[in-house]
Amino acid sequence: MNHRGLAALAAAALVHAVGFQTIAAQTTGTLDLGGSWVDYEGFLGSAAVSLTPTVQYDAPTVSLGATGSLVVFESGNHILQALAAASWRTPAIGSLRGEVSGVAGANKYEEASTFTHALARSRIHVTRTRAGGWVGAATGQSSFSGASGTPFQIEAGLWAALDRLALDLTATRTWFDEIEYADVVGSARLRELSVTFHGSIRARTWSANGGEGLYGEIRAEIPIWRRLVALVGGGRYPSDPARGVLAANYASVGLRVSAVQGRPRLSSQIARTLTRSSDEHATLVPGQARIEVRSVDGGAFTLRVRAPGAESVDLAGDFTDWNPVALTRVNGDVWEVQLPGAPGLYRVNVRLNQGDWMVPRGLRAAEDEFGGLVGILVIAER
Amino acid sequence: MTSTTKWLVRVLGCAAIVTCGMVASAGAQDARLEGRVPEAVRTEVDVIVEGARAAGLPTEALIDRALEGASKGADGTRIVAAVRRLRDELGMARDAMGSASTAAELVAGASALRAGASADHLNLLRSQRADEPLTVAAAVLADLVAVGVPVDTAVTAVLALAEGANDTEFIAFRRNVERDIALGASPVAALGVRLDLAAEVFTTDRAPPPSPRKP
Repeated sequence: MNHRGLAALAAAALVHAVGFQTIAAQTTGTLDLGGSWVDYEGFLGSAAVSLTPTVQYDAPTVSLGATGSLVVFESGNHILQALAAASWRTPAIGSLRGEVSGVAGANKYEEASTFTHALARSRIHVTRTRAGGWVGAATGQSSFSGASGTPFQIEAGLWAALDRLALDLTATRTWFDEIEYADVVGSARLRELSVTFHGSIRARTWSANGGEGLYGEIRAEIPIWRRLVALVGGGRYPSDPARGVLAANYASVGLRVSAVQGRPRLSSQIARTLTRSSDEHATLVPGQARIEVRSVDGGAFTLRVRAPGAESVDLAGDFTDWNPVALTRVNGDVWEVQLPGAPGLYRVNVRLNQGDWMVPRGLRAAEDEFGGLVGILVIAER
Repeated sequence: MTSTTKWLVRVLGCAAIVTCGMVASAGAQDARLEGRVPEAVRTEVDVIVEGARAAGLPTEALIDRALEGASKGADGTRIVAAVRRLRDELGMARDAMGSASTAAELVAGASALRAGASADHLNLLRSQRADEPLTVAAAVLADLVAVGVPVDTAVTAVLALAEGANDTEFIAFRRNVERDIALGASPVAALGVRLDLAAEVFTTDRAPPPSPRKP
């Protein structure tokens, strides 16, 4: 199992949240040991080994789960991950049921990147005996060390369970910072001759800065002896810009030992999206702005400001004699202005909707000696 | 020439010098400040600007600083103090980077000084990059210090880059370091990683792009 498998495994901690099975409380512990070949976008392919302990508690209205993972690549570099999730279901009112869940996690790749997140999700389920659906929304906080953002996601899904086959279809729309995307995911679970197969196909049908494409994964759980299960899987998954996870192709094999007799993981994987929510945040935070230099051409340069939700964007700086200059909306949240100026160092502030002057992201903020902050813009020769 | 004539010539000469000085002084007043700052502030700023000009320092940045203060509603005392401080920093930067430095270089040098670099650091940078513009290198130095890289480490990194990087690469370097920091790396670790990668590029004489690495 590669580190990606952690998300799926953690999802299992919440799967029962939507399965609505009437079961007695039960605690299950598993330990996965795996080897994989993973080919991250932009990197050479590498072998990796992983160790993934998981503990899960399920009761009729509450599910709790926690998992950790250590993945070591052949270079010696490693990823550490931890995730905890909890879910509470309301009593059913007819075929309706509410659900509130939360997930918090962190991962760290060497000293190069650390990501933490905490998300809350609510759903309303319509449940029949063998089919159902839900709508939901999630938000929370994602943090990359000092920088943080507020992801927001809406979703709708359908599921159906036959004798040995469970299907679900999920559509999500995600906003995070400058990233937006819409995914449609179809997944299936088939249990045949005591072997359980999981398969999914994901289409990122629309995206702004989040990549597009078709992705698929498949995994088989093959019982070997009592509490020992062989895991075989592989596929391709998309990048997760919010978490700093690169798209990758992978193939993995592993062994799972259950500390307690495992029980069939029914459910239609609807809750897969619960943990996906921890992976696929995306935000758009009104009131924030990011600036970049689009081009430098002779004695002029073009500045572009991305300002979600803004109705007007003004800029004032050394090159405008500190007179406000209105930017022109190029499309959607993107605004531009072309200004005369030679390469050099300039001080600049931006304001949205005639509000306070601020330092947009993308610039170093410095104290301006006048009781506020000013952005330092470097225009380089190109 | 009689003594009376000589006296007359001297008087007229002095008058001409004084007149020219007044004209020059009047011409030195920057029209952009008119109406933006109180007259008393403008007079003080003009004196500072004129002094900077006489000393061979760039004056545009001084006017910009006064305009910035005015646009932000700062009181006159603050505006004058900010302009005076910038003039002093520009002077220090010029002393460290050499009198042949451009206005943009001096502004960037002043920014680096304010961020925590020393005159010696700027002098080192100039000597290492004698024939290349220092504007971006000095700006990146200031940025690195601002994001938490210890100043000596930042200077070492910029000096290492100065031998092979062009301005665009400097900008990319800074952006990558900031991104790594945003992703959770410590400033020093981010700097080290990016410096290693940059070194690989430069030591390969820029011929082949860096090969992908294993994770």
